[in-house]
Amino acid sequence: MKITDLTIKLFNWEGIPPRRPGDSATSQLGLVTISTDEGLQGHAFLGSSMATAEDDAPGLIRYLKPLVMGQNPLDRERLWQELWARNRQVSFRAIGAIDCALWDIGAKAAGMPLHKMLGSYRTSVPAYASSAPMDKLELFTDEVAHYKERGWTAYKIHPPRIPAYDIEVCAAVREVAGPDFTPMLDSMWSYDYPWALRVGKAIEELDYYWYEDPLPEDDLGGYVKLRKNLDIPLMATEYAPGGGFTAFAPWLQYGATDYLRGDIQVKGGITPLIKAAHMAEAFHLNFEMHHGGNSLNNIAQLHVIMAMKNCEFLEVLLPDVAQKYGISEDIEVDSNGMAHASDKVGIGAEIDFVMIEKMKAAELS
Amino acid sequence: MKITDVTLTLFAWNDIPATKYGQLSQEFSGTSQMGLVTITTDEGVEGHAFLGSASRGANLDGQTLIDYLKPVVMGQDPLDRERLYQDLQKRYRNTTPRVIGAVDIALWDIAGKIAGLPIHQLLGSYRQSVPAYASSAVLDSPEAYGEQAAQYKADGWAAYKIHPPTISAKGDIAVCEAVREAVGDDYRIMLDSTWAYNYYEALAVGKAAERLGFYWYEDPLADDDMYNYIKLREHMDIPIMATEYSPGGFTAYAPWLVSQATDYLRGDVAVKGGITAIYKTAHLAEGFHLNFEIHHGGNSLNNVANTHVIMAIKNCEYFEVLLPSGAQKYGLIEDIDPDENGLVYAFNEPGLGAKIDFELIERMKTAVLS
Repeated sequence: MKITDLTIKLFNWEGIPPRRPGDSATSQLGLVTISTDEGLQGHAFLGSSMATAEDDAPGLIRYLKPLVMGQNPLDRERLWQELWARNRQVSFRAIGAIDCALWDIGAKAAGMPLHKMLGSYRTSVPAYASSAPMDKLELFTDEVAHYKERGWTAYKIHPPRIPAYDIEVCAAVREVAGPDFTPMLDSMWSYDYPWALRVGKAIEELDYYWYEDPLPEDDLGGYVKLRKNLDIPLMATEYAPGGGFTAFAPWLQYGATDYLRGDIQVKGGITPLIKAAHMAEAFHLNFEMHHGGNSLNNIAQLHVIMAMKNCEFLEVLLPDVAQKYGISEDIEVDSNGMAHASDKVGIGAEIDFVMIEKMKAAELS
Repeated sequence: MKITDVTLTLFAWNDIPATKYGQLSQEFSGTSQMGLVTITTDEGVEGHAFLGSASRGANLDGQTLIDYLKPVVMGQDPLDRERLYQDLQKRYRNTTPRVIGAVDIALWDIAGKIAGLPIHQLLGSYRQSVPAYASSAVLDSPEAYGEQAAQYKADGWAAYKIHPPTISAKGDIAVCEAVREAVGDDYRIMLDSTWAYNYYEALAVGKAAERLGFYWYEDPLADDDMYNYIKLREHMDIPIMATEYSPGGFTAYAPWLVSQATDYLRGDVAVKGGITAIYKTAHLAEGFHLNFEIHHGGNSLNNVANTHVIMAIKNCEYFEVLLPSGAQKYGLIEDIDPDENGLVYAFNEPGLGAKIDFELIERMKTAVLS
């Protein structure tokens, strides 16, 4: 089997609520299509509501397409190594999109859902609702109440990043959610060490489940020290410097985190996620999958979660209007707060080709 | 799809030449029992693996397969490999990694057959061939090692590894010198001292191997002697290879990495518990920019399983061919044999893709456990 073409269809995404002041309300996603001489096609989405595919697509075509043209799509490991070697020319998102499309072809060639091809571990996983970064305490308490009512069992706060106020938000969310609910805090690299410790001690008291990214992503020494001074598990490495899965090593060696973390966009595909999961497992740690930034990535990642033991949750980042797009049947969380494995062959996403055609902005090849 | 049966067909292996790999492993010869593991499904697809080796009969492990592992997989979907692997691993105190490995391999064989793909493509291929090295048994004299190494060099193989007598450090150094002398300065040679030395012997032999330009220095110290591996590694310039038999399974490599006690990870489908375990180990090693150098598999079909993983990873440089053939190759119609360029090639038929000699197995059958 040979790859005969790679195209990117850029399509507009409108009406995105601004995440930060000055954010654009529009973005573009890219439908990446890899075609083969045997008629099999693999798909991936490039970009997110925050990182328009317009920026990544030209580099993908210029630097990565030539590496895969004419190649056997089942030579994934060789191709991933070669794609990865271009990471100074292109973004990890672009590498990730091609790798994702190659896995789609692989599982289609195998005639199996991706999680079966990888070797399934389970058929369902609990989801947690992961707030947008908001600025008012009431928005968080209303939101957690809403999701709890619908059967969800866990909620993660992306707080206002004013540490003293963040503690108030965390206390209020715990109060509303009650003692049996699972709240987490993701402080998005925003504190200095003294505040990271104060907030950490406070949410330890509030029995939070994990404490994510309190310090800047490259402050390995700070994380080591913080981890010694806190009982609550610390989660780092989503954006560990270097970005690749080989950048996890010092975090393990120095005991700087209680989890490894990443997703298709930030680590460069499904391939490094599988490797990172294996690496974490060897240290008896979880690799907690980060949301994938677009609908198709999230569906692909759900397959990977179904094929591994050491990931506890699916992250569902809010709001839906900024995260779900381009798929006619997106991931649904049931009334018990669970997301379920897909039985469709390949990644099995129901791509909304009609809508994509309607919203098409450009086609690159 | 459901697993409907697991059987172990024991078959005799006769005329095994007297063979020894070091003082720690006893000399073996004559007869052993191999086991053909067959996992059957309700859709007619069967998966296979071999259990046992020339030095350790499958009869010794076989009953634990039936008593402890068969109940774990019966009635299950063979494509639920990760769940089954985790469940099988939990039984490791009742059985051996060899048996867990055999079940895991047979499950991968089924998956590849269902997918219509060789296992290396199911994993995602990296290459189609890999250089092989000849890996000696213990020989009678330094000259015998020198002659054998020169022969493999002449045959085009990429490298030669010595399993020395391990009777004395001095004697082993003499073997290393004889081999270097016989192959010249440019040929790649390695030393595997099979856990034989104390620290001072390991340092003395290691310094000699360093002086002689050895490519790696494998298992000089006891398999659990991490304390002295760390120190030895600090004193050596040539790479140290440990962890083939480090205590525990795939999750026991971590301290060797954290403490920087080895330059490679090491293992195979038999000693670490299957394709799943070694595939994970390769990724673990890659995360630390290390090679996972896959060890020979102890029997012919295990070596095929190893080959698939090697074809799907970047960080393994060589395929190990343990000598002599008479003590390592049995039960396949066509065994792995490096070509005139010293290369071993991928199996490209669905599943394991090796031709099992079912006729021979039937003829030599001694028992069927089920």
